[in-house]
Amino acid sequence: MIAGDRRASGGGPGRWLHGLAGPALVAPTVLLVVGLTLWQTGVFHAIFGLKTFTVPYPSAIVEGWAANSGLILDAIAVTLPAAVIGYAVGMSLGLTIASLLVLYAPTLIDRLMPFLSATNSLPIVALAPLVALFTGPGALLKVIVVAIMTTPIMVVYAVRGLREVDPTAVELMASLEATPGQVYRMVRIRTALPFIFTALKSSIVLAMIGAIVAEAVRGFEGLGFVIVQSVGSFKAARAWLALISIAVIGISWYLVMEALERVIVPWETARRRRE
Amino acid sequence: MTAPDRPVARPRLHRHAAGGLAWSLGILAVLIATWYIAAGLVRLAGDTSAAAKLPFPHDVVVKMIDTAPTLLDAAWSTGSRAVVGFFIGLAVGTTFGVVMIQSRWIEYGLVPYILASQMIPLIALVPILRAILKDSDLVRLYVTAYVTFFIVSIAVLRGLKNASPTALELMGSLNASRWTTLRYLQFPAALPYIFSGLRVAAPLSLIGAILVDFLGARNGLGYLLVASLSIGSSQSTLLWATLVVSLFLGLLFTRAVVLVERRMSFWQPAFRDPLR
Repeated sequence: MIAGDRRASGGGPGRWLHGLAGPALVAPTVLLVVGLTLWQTGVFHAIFGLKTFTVPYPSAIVEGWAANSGLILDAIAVTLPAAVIGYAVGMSLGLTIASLLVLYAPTLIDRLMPFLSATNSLPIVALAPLVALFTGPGALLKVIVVAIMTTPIMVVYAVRGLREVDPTAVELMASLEATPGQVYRMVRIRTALPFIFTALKSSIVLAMIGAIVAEAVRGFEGLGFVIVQSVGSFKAARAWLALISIAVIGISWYLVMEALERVIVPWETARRRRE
Repeated sequence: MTAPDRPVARPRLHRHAAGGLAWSLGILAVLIATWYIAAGLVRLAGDTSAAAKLPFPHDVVVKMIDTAPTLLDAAWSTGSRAVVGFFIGLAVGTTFGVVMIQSRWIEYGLVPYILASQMIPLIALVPILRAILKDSDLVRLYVTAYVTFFIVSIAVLRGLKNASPTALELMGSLNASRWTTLRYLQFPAALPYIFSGLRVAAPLSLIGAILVDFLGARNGLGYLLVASLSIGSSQSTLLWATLVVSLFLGLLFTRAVVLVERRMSFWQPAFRDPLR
């Protein structure tokens, strides 16, 4: 065990899974306990000059749950559905556009792809005020902003996945006189699934950002609004509880998609584990 | 049809430069024409409030020229902080990556938190950071550095592990020091990973800076966007103009990273990791 650790600590590649039971569990736990202790005992506050009315102690945040739980849960009930619906719209729209392109305009894709990839380098979030101009505040604004932010990612990844087919499989299908639709259903969608899941997972944080930006810019309810308003009125515990809820939602959402991926694309998960 | 599919599947701009440019201009022309048609239809329908919200493209260009000083000023206050924060994040992230590769205890301790914090929407932190720091410029620096840091540290860690095991053994047999191994083997091997991380981080740092503007800054692109929105639909042309400037700045950031990448990691031009 010790010998193994020393050998791997030289930075050998691909040693992630050896001796996982050791540092993989112990190290993060130790770090968490040390971090929380330093925070609770005020060491961080002393070093960084923090004030308890902006950064409360962990115990104060936990105690704040009793007083704020109703408000936080209400805010979640406003933000989460809008984010999920926008995400679903963005993902289905992206997959539809990618499928149509691959099926009906394969020659156009190479010309369009630089444009689609360029959308990744655009601050799409700046569109939120523009959308608000047309929708006003509310759920529709959030859904549209989230959909606009997540669609291009799905298009880019799905197009890549749908074209990443095994040429021999397509030749076989062609020799069997398969229609493009049959090739799509039987070959393309399968090779695309890992790519689609990558898009699904990397869009989650964007969905949350989109919903919260919309609330913070033009909102009157929801988690984003609660944070802005609580900080403004020096209710720090409430702001931190909203922040923690956002983190918990984002991480659980990710874990759900990862579990789905394990069920739907088990071969890809197995391949990744081998690497 | 599918056999030549593969090399074309990852198009790169410089390979079909001339034809690509013509196509890009063509697509741009189609987009602008669509905009004109949409704006024209709204006017034909007689919806005056919608017409105010959807100006013609030339109105936006005129507005951009008219308000050039304001727009450039805003682009500077947002863009320059984003660049400085980006480099701070790059430095801190690289340091973390290098430290993490030295000991798996440090790596295993930190990586779960780095990955998890990427799931926290940045904007939720902005109001709290502002309450702590009380200064928009500082918040912009922190936020942009924070975004860049997480992406870079993971990219550096993955990249440093990318060094081939046989080359590592050779360095070991030559009794090379850790620094020599890092400098001449692991770091060059990591460059493609670092750059694909940077290509993601560059626009995100700008997005981070704009988000800070959204939430209570007194200047910057995001401030202009929100301010022109709250003034009313009469100022929507300014909103469109600011939007165009923001999009342009985002493209500029990414192009800059790509250009530097071609200079620095020229020996691996084929490396483009579509999945990060």
